[in-house]
Amino acid sequence: MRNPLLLIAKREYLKVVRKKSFWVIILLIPTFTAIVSVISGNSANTIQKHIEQQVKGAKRIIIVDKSGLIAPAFIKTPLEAMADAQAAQTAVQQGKADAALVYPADIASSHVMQSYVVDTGLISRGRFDALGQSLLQQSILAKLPNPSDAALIATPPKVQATVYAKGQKIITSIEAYILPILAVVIYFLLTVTSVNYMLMAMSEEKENRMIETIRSMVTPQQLIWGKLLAMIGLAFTQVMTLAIYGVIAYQVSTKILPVHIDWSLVHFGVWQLILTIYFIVSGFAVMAAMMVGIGAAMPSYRDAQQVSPLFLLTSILPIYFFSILLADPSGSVARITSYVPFMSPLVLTFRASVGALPVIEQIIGIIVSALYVVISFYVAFKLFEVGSLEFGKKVSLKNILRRS
Amino acid sequence: MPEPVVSIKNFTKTFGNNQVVKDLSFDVYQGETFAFLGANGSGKTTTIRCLLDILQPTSGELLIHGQRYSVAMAKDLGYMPEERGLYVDANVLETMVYFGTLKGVNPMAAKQWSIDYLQRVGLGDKINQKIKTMSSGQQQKIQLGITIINKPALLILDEPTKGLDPLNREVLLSSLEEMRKNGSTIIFITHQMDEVEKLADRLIMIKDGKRVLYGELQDVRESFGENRVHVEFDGLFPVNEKLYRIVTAENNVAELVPVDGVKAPAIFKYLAGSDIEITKFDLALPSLQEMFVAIQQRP
Repeated sequence: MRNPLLLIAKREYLKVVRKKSFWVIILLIPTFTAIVSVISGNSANTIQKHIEQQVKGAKRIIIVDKSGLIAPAFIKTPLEAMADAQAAQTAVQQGKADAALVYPADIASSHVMQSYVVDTGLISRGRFDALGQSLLQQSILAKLPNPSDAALIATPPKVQATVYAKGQKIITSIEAYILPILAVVIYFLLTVTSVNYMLMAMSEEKENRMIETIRSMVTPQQLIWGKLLAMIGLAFTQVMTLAIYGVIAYQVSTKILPVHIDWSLVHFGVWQLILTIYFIVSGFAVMAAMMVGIGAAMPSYRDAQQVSPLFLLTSILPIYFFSILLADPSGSVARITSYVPFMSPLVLTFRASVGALPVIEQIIGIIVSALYVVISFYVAFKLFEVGSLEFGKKVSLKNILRRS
Repeated sequence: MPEPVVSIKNFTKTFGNNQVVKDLSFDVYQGETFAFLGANGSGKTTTIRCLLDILQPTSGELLIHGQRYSVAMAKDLGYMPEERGLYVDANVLETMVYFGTLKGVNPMAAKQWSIDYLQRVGLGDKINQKIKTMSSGQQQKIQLGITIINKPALLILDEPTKGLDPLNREVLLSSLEEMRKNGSTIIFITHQMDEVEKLADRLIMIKDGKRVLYGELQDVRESFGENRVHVEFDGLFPVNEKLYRIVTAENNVAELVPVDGVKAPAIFKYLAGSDIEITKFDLALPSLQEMFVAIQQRP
């Protein structure tokens, strides 16, 4: 007799991968993100160029210096000095000048200067602001006795930082965050997409009223583990597809964009990697178990979908305060959320991948994660036992207790 | 006495404070067709679910061939539950082969059997069609196919003809007849008493989780308290309250209800010795339908 668990896994896996929507979702999300990023970056560049062209193309910019700070040597065409601020304003109003920049006598105390500009559109109304500020800055710097000192202030030096953690030099470049970013992205994908297939798979048999037929042929354990195995297969397929897609995208982007990653700087320890994988897998297992429970407890997939986001959103909630985790991966927020149900896998995954989990927290994290997996599967099996035969109605807590 | 295929002994099932089945016992023997009767909510489906290990019994024994059911026995079982359906997005042949292989049938054999079966029930042209495109009657035929794909030695059917039109009902009943001829043991739950009279060798009827009737159809009818005696006669029909109560006695036809403990031969003996001339004397057994209604209406 063929193993029912493998038969179930095979059927569930093939059912999903044969759907076009599976591949569309995998490829569409990163493609869409990339396209939006390119369009957005391109738009910003285009706007910037457009503004620069407008500034360069200006024919007359009036400078009214009441402060006495502006160096006359810098006022060259199209800049033109004028004493009367009112006349400068009128010239702009009448379209005889593109702009007038007025430096008041009390600028040192008020920190305010005026500009009068001919309107050329919403995004370019402040096009001469930088010029006005720069003119003031350069004029003041020009008064310094040593020109190289002035240049240093005008263009601050690059900072080459060397950071030590517990006496060890650590890498602070973007390469150091490749593993954490990958870990978080993989966890996010598994949580948001793969476990949803679990919900669909569980709901389908209940909604179609097939569960009793199946339960006469296979045990609940075989059914659930079979589906879970299929989900692992799907997750693996997703990750591998994305990896291939990512490699191709990286190869292409390095040829057309100034992107360079120094792979020699990407370091992580074996234990760090094992720990990261452990937290990803345990988090995935908890979410999959919850989807089993919800799928079994709710009468239809649509009903189940109304409940599942509560758990899904909680599991990815740390992304919303990711900057806090990034700033201080060992801080209070990170430490507390490391053990909050559903949130803990993502936080622990991130902290493990950046090496910000002390040994004691590693031990606690491993135990707590295992405990959450056990509890969630216990709840899932209980809900399945009670709920899978409750056709057309939701399982109430009273019913669970009554049938337990 | 042969070993029973299914043996249920002192089975009780409780949900919370609600005792759904109470100390139920019965046996089903090899090759017989056994009807399991009772009103809705009387505990029939719960009994079957506990027999198949889908639910856990509170107490008692539910055995198949002397053992608790395990999914390893699925290869010899065909179960069609009351709540049944199909993977509506899958195609017909794939679904049948999937369930066949789950029951331990070789995939190639399951495929060939499915094709033959679908042709036999008039669905030969729908092999690669999606199930959701098919009518409810056609889907029921597929469900029956899934149930018997492994040529089960034990067939358990919960309201198999529910929702079927008369034509499809006949198709299903003739399939069951064929299974019976091939030696399968059949347990079926139904509310259609004509199906019981047509198919069943023995039956059990339960009310509120308790057994109220059990045995061969004829024995059950004879043992039922409301047996009637049908007499056709000439003359003035005699009254004898010690032996019978007269329901009607007109136009030379009388319907009598024997007093408790009185058998028909005693009544015949008495009437033969009376002044009337007996032209016909029958023991009019109640129909299963009458028995069902009478039992379910009892307080």
